[in-house]
Parts: sequence; structure tokens; C-alpha cells
Amino acid sequence: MPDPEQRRICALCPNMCRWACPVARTERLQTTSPAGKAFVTYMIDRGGLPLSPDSASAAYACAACRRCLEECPSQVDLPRLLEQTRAVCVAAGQAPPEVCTFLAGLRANHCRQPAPDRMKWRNFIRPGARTLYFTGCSAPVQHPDMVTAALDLLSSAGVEVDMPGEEWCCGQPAAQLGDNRLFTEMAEHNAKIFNSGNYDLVFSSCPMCTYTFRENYPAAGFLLNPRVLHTTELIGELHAAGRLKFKLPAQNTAVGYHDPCFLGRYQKIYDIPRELLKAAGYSLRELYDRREKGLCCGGNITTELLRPDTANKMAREIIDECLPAEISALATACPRCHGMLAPAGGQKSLPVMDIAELLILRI
Amino acid sequence: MLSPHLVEELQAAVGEEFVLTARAHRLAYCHDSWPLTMIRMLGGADLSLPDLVVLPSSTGQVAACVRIASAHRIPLIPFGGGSGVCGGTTPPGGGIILDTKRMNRILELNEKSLLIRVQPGHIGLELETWLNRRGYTLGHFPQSIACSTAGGWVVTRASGQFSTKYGNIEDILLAVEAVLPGGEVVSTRHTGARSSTGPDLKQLFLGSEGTLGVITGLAFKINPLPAHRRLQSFLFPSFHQGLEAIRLFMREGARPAVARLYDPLETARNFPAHQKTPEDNMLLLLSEGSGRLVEAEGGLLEEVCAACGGVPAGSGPVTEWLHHRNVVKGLPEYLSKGFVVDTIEVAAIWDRVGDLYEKCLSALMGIPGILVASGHSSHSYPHGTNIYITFGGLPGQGKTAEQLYLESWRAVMEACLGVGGTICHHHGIGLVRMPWMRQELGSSYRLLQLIKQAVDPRNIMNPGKLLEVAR
Repeated sequence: MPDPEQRRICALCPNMCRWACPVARTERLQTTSPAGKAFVTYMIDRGGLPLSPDSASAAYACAACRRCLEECPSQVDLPRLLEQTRAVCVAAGQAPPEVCTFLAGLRANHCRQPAPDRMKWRNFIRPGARTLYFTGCSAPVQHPDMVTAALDLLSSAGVEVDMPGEEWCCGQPAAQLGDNRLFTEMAEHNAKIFNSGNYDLVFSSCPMCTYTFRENYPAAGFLLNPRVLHTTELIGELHAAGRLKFKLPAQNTAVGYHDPCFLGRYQKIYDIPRELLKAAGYSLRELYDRREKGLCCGGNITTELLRPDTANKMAREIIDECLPAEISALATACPRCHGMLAPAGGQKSLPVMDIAELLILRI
Repeated sequence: MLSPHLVEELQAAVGEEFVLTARAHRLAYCHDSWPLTMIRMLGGADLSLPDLVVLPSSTGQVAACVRIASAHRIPLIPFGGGSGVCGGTTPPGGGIILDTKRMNRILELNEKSLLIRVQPGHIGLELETWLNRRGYTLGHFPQSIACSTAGGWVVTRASGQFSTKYGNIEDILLAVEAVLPGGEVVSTRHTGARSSTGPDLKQLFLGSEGTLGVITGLAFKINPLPAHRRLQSFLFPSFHQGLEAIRLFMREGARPAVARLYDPLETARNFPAHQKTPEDNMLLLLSEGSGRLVEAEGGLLEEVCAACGGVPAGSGPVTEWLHHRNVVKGLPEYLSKGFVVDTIEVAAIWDRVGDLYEKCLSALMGIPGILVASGHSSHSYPHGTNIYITFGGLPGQGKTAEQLYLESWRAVMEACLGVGGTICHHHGIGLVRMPWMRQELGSSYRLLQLIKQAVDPRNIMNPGKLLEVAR
């Protein structure tokens, strides 16, 4: 179905996915409900609403979680349609000021966070190794233990790992915010690194990065020579090959697992993290909202940057309403999810851990 | 023309960020899910926008907003999920939309007495999910459950798909708190299982469609989640035999949660793999509750259906229906392509319902441009049932989509009144049914006008909906 028709159908739909949209659930506005966003951008498209940072704000009211797609009988990809509108906003110089500031910083620093000190992992790094660890912007700065745990697991399995000298942001935040030119620059830079060495494999603990490499890079014309895997997939392969063995505890610890949107709905990876947790002797208790219907933590750049209050409420809803009883920790497999859920979990004395951190405890 | 002080006063009442004046917001709130609005929109008609949108979070804030609207004599339109299909929240060219969705707190769960008190802004599925996780169900499952609000159910007198067992919203509702058009807060207390304390005043707000005040609090009955379920289906050689089976088992005292009878066209549309002949009419039955009751009811249903000529078709069709029952697909697609499509639900007592079905469908099919009309019964009572009609057509020969749409509605409304049925079972009145309200209510229409005049003398609450104000 052509995009303008998709947008029109979504705009005129009775909004049956509104209860599932985390932004709509939290903000409780018609304007930021799925059909409301489609309607406002449809009106922009057909000239009924002048494009401005104000009118375009509905296009940025999307967590890009794809939860609406799980409900849509017409399979309208609203997150993608809104991304298109955001690209029009940026191209026309009508993006909200916060977006312009963020994009200027990303353009200058090539990274969402201040450049991390990767030297702290020098003991793990083997220059010239055929496996490349792309840490992503968030993990090394906000949650370095996640990186250490992943490297430790690979080391235990005898996998030698290299890190890129000058890693840039994967580009997904730029694409999400509507700056396709900046995305292309970043993709070109990273793809050159991936393709220039003797790498067989690039892996990352950030599912947003791996999705971007797998889907957005080839779509933009940057084909990658090495395979791309998320950390959980790589650990799963190593465990299946018998290279990683877990020491089972006398008593199982009960943990929950939160499905990151970019690992689950975007890359359909639901079973591997669950199987790994069980293989390592954890008793997995499922969240009420899980797998395809899992809730979004709010950690996408659109929500985190433009509606931090909404993003925090989204994370709190997971901790307050979705957890099974009597779990000792909540596992996840994304640094963005970890960053959002850990503070909310902390308020209830519930540790939120990356899956690699839980697995390394059983080596 | 908006008074310059209005926005400031509302901002002082609810907070600056909760008064929305940008055109994007006014556009988002200018329509509900009434197909005629969509037809007009697609035709390029100018949209009737509200002046602003206000988002209160408490009864006190609602009262303040209503007082301000009253003082400025500006229309105020309560807004829930915007899922109404009759134009009930369409702004009358300006006015204040008061969105209740920020009012979504659970106020009390009383497990021993099986009741819950809530604010009105919960989306249905949010509330039902919250209850399910604690072992309960409201038992109210309108098809719009994912996009309609608890307050919206009450003001439209909504029905759910499981209403034959759990009742319609008027049977589930125990008490109402509302802000009257002058800003006064009133609450119909619920202190007993039943009261004999004068007229039941909560009934004033059931079906009031925002014309008598803003609902700010609700108490509902709840039910323990059912332990057992039995699904059955039967094929009947005629629609009338299926209706007769429903009439007889309801008369016997059976109350299956779901009893849905589809005519041959709808059977073909919804259950093509199960229809044996083009004349087959599918009846779906779902019983739930404690095991022994479910088994006893299931046996009775089986006997009655067999006696009426029903042939068992297994549980499969009910399972399929449970899976797709809330999938609403096709309306925007058809409207976009220039078709006119809508549904109309009417009802009648048993000795008229066969006539109601025949007359409504033949009236529709007699209209040039109408291509298809079909019906099903989905909410039954010992004394009658509803008929839910779906129709579609293509305008042409100088007739616009709007003209075909309105002609279709007129045909069904007149056919319905002609056989002594009621013009609406559960979608409400809004704008689309208003022209027939006087006939529907007969002499009691005047009473409704008098009540409106007494409660809302300035006619600020959702003016132009439900009834014509007495002059």
C-alpha cells in the first residue's frame, strides 16, 4: 500500500491500537494517540496544517517501539510514516529546537555521549582479532559493567575480540530524528571500519545498533562484509557449540526478562535470551506484557529527548504493573532499556541487569 | 470569538500545559469515529474545530472548567476516547473540548463486595487488564474496548459483547459522580445492594451524551474471572429459526455470555469455512462461570437449538470469533475508495424483531447505490433482541456520498419506527439519530427537554446533541 494511503487509513481508523501505544497510554492525549498522530501529519501532508516545529511535534511523539503494529489489522507502519514526516521537518528547518541542538552535538561529537574511555577494557582487546565489538554510545558510558560482562563471557569462550579505534554512533538516533544526511555520514564511517579489517563478525550489546547495521545500512547502500550479531545471539551460538559452560547453582534464582523493542519486535529475537537464562540456572518468570506485546521502556531518542517525563513514566509502568511476583532481578538485553529501567527498579530495590551480567555470574 | 480571559482562567484552573490551543490539537479533537465526518473530510469539506482543548485531572478541576465555560457561555464538550460513531463529540464550531483521559485513577477495589470505583478516563482495556491481573473482570467488552473510555460507555449507554450474561453498562453501573453545568458536584451514593430511595438519579447520566454534565467518578460491579467456559455453535436453515432458538432459551432462563446469530451474508463473510449452504445462519454461544452452571446451561442451549432446527457446528467458529472479534478493518479503506459504509444497531421485542430485520434490510436494498446490507443479533433479552445492520454502497447518478449515507440512515430509522422498534440499541444518538428522537421518545421527549432546561439553562453542555432544546 502506498505511504500516503497508509497514512490516510491510519488517520481515519478508530484508533484501536491506542491502548497499546505507550506514548498515548502515558500522555492520554488524542493528538499523540496513533490515529491522532497520523491525522495531524495527514493534515500537514494535504496542506490543512502548516509545517512548523509546533505542528510537527505530533510526529515526534512516537517511541518507535512498533507496539501499534502488533495491533494493526492493516499493517500500517506508523513509526516509519512519522519518521518520514520528521525527515521533512529537518529538511525544511522546522524540527523542534531540542532536536536541532541534539543533532548539532551528534554531528560534532559523532557520538551521543562523551567519547568513552575504551582503554579500561584493554586487557580484553586483541588488535587484529576477527571479531569486532561495537559497544555503541550508551553502554560504555552509562553501564560499563555490561561491556565488561560481555567481554568476560567471550573471553571465557576463547573468543578474541577487537574494538574499533574510532567508533561513531550507529546513526539510528539521527535517522529517528529525521536527519538522513547525518545518518548516511555515520553509516559510511562505520561501514568502512567494519569492511576494512579482517572481520568475520561484528557484535554489539545494543540491539538498536545491530538492527541498524542489519537493516538500515544495506537499505542505504552500505553492505557489510562481516556477520552482525547481538551479544545474546553470539553467546547463544557459543553455548550451543559447547564453548561456554555454565555452573549451575544449588538453588535457582528467579528473574524476570524485559524484551527490548529493538531486539524483540524489530529483530524477532525472543527465545535466545530466555533460553540462555534458563541454561544458566535461572528460574525465568515472565512479565505480564512480554514478547511481541512487551512494553516499551521509553529509551528511544524521540521520547528520551523530547518527552523525558513520558519516558520515565513508561519505564515506571513496567516496574509497577508488569512484573511477576518474587523475582530477585530484572534482566534485559539493551543498554537503553537498562538506563531507563534501573532507576525505576532501584526505587523498588529491584536490580536491573544486562543478561551478560547475569550469565557471567554462572561461569 | 473567544474571550481573551478564557484561556488564562482555564490555565489557572488546570495548569498551563493542560490547555491546548494549537491548531494541531484542535484538529485532533475535531472528530470522533462517525463515518460521515470521514466522508466529509475526504471530500475536502471544512472541519468544525473546537476553540481549545482542556485536560483536567480531578473532579475539582472539571468543576472549575465547567464554571468558567458557564460564565463565558461557551459550549463545553466532554470527550473520552473519541470512539463514538454518531458524531456525539463533534464540536459545534468552536467551544471547549474537555478530555477526561487524564482522570484515570483507580479509587477503590472492594473485593468482598465485588465493586470498583474509578475515574472516568480509563481506556476500557486498561481497566479490564488491571482487573484481570487481580482475578476479576468487569464483564463489559464493547468492540471499542481498546479505544473507548469508562465514562464514554456510561454516557452512551454502551453494550458489551458478553452482555447477555453480565448486562449492559446500565446493569454494571452502581453510582455516578458528575459535575453539573453550573459547576456543582453531585454524587449518587451507592450504599446498599439496592435502594428504595426515590428515582434512580444515576439513570439521568446514562445515555446523557454530555448534555447534562461531566461524569467524574464511577462505581461498577465486578465479577470473579470465570473458571469455566463452553463454546458451541449451530447452523440454522433460516435467520428466523435462529432467532426463535434464542428467544426460547432466554425464556427458559439461560444466560450465555455470548449469543450471536449471523444472517447468511454475514455467515459467509465471517465464517466461510463453516457455512455448508449459502442459506446457513451461524449462531455462536459462549457460556462461562462455575463448571456445573456452565454444563447445565450448555445442555439446555443444545436441546433448544436442536429443537429449532440448529445443526451443531462445534466450538471452532466461536474460537475464531474470539480471536477476531475486535478487529476493525476496512472502514477507512472503503471510505477512501469512495464507498459509503456504516453500521446501524436497532432493537425490538420478540414479536416484532423478525419484521424489524426484514424491513430494515429491504429498505436499504431499495435505495439506488446500496450494494449490500446484512445483519446479526448480538444482545438478547427474555423480551427481545437487537439487530446490528451493516451496509455498503457506491454513490453515483448525481448522488453524493453524503446524500447516500443520509438516505440510508433515514430508510433504516423509518423502517425501524414503522415496526415499533427502538432506533438505537447501544451506539447512542449524537448527531446522526437526532432527527428521530422526538418520534422515538414520544411524549417523554418533552420530559427530556424539561430536564435539560432545568439542569443546563444556558445550554452549554454539548449543545446540538441528543435533543433539540425547548424554546
